Amino acid sequence: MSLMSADLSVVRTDAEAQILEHYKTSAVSLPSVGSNRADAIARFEATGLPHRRIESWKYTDLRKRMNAAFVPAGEADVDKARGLLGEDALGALNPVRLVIANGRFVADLSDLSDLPAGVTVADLVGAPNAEGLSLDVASGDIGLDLNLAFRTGGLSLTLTEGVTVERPIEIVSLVTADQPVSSTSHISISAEAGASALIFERYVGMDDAYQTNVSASYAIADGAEVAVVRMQTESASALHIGSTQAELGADAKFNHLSVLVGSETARDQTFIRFSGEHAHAGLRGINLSGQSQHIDKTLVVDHAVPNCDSRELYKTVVSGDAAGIFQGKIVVRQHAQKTDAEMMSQALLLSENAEFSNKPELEIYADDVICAHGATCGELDEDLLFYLLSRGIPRREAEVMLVQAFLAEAVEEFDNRAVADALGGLVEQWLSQRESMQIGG
Amino acid sequence: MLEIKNLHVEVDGNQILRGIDLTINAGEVHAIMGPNGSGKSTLSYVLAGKEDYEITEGQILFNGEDLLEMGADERAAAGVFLAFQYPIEIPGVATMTFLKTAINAQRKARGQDELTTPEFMKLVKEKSAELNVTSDMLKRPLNVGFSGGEKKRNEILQMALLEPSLCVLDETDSGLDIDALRIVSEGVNTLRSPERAMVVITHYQRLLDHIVPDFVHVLSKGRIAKSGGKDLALELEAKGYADYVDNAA
Repeated sequence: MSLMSADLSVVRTDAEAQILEHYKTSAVSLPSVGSNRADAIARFEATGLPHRRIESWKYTDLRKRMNAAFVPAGEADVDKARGLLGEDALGALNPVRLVIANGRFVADLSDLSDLPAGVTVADLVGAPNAEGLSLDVASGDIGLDLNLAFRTGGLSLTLTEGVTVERPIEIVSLVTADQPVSSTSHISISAEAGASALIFERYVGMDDAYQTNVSASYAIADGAEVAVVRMQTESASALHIGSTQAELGADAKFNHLSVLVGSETARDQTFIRFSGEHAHAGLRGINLSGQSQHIDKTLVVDHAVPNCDSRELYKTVVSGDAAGIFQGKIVVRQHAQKTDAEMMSQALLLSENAEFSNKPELEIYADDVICAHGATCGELDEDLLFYLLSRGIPRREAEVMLVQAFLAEAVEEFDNRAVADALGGLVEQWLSQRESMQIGG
Repeated sequence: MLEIKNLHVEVDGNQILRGIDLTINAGEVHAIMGPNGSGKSTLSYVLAGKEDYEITEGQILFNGEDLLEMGADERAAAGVFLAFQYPIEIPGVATMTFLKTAINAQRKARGQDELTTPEFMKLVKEKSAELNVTSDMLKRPLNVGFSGGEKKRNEILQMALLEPSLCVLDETDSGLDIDALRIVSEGVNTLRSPERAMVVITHYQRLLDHIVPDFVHVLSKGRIAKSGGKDLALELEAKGYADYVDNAA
């Protein structure tokens, strides 16, 4: 036996060794946030960073992409954090703002005195429901395990039974420091029966390199309706690993729109579980990957009970030398009859070197279901482009119009004008920042 | 205004136009007729600046300038307009946004001030009423769900709003019933002026009952086989294109 284990001794990458080292140094001082850190780091120790032979991470080889693991961040400078908030990011929506900086809830930057009726917010440290969900389909995920092992804080938010919260809630998670750091946070949201709200998650950070691992948990009770817009606008040299878990009770509605624009390398994973009948999930996303970005959107929807429906629509635009990835998996359990699920992934490639990988999966054990998936990938349509040019619209402007038209469907289905306006601005900004948008060039 | 000299055009190695000579002056309406495959649509696309057409010989001058050196958007700003045979549907692009972007892009290219939203709205309201384009149509994405007639009316509305000096109408009558044909033709006739030239491409004579041309040319096998006055169209209607197809074969 001893001979065998010597032969199989693990060769750790620098980043893996550093992660274990950081854990050793910081674990004693980490606050209690409900997670079992020791188990999580033990799983990481056994598997290491995800690489291409781990099927669920095959397109995002962190062993290759992570050359170093930065030190866990200390508390953020409040003034610097304030500077990153972006005062009018959501414009006319006028949300209630809650701020997490360097993995810690910052009461001084949060509108705690202004909370709408029926909304309770607490620092994750010491909160009763701090840990949040741990869904089957997410268990053992290395991104999530690293979050469990290192999370320093975040917030817990409860929507009281039966309350409709009119004013949107904005949760900003940011990273700022004088050196490259890593930051790990968690938000745990519980919507009690019949509650409803619109929640924005925004992810931003300093211009220098940093690594951030964020997790969100949505426990949505019977009849509750929660809409989430997730805006990942990290700075250009960031590494972002984000995980969302949501569990839906009977007759619950969950609308989720992820907009992934930022960071150098991003993995955004969403795990959904239906636990009560007649619930609906609308899962949509816009992924904009340019220059040398690598943006991976991974989705797992677990239809564990009968009579639920889900709609998945993801639109990816890739330009420059960038890569875009969509992995979408729908699981229909044996007794989940009358499931209705429809997944669509569409990509637009704007340059010769742009790359898109698409992996749709249906895993169906029930025999009376409607389940479909579709995927398309192509360039801008030359005939559409010519029509716009022939009316005097310059090529660049015409291309922007067509890209926006391509993305519009994902936002329109979200069915909220103010949200569409806020996101339209973001998309326009991304498009205008691109140096060139040559087709086939 | 427009001088086409010895124009030869190839598409994917196939010669489509084999030496077209045509001069069009301001105020004139020229009809170009011809059998299927004679090169009518190719001529319209070459004028508008579509890519994938290789000009192997000849030149096109527009107000003395080399049209072939200009991009499609530059030609539009300079005053060339093509009314498409098959107007394109663009889901996700609102008709009003498209119209305003097009007008202001052209104004900007010509060094004029852009129209404000109220100015633009007033203009659209005025022109769309003349063409029976409803506000419901204007609220939809560009050409999406439009009937054949609605699409053609929308083309002429764009023409009225953009006020080009050279209008090329590619089979504008195709797919239109009699009422739609009348509305579209009236729209076109309103735009006739001493400063504006028109090229009306059609397979059938009936459009020319409504838009009466000054000159008629018969295109056959990539060349103008015959030119004449408006009576030539009537002659073609009576005898068909058989002469031209046979001659060229």
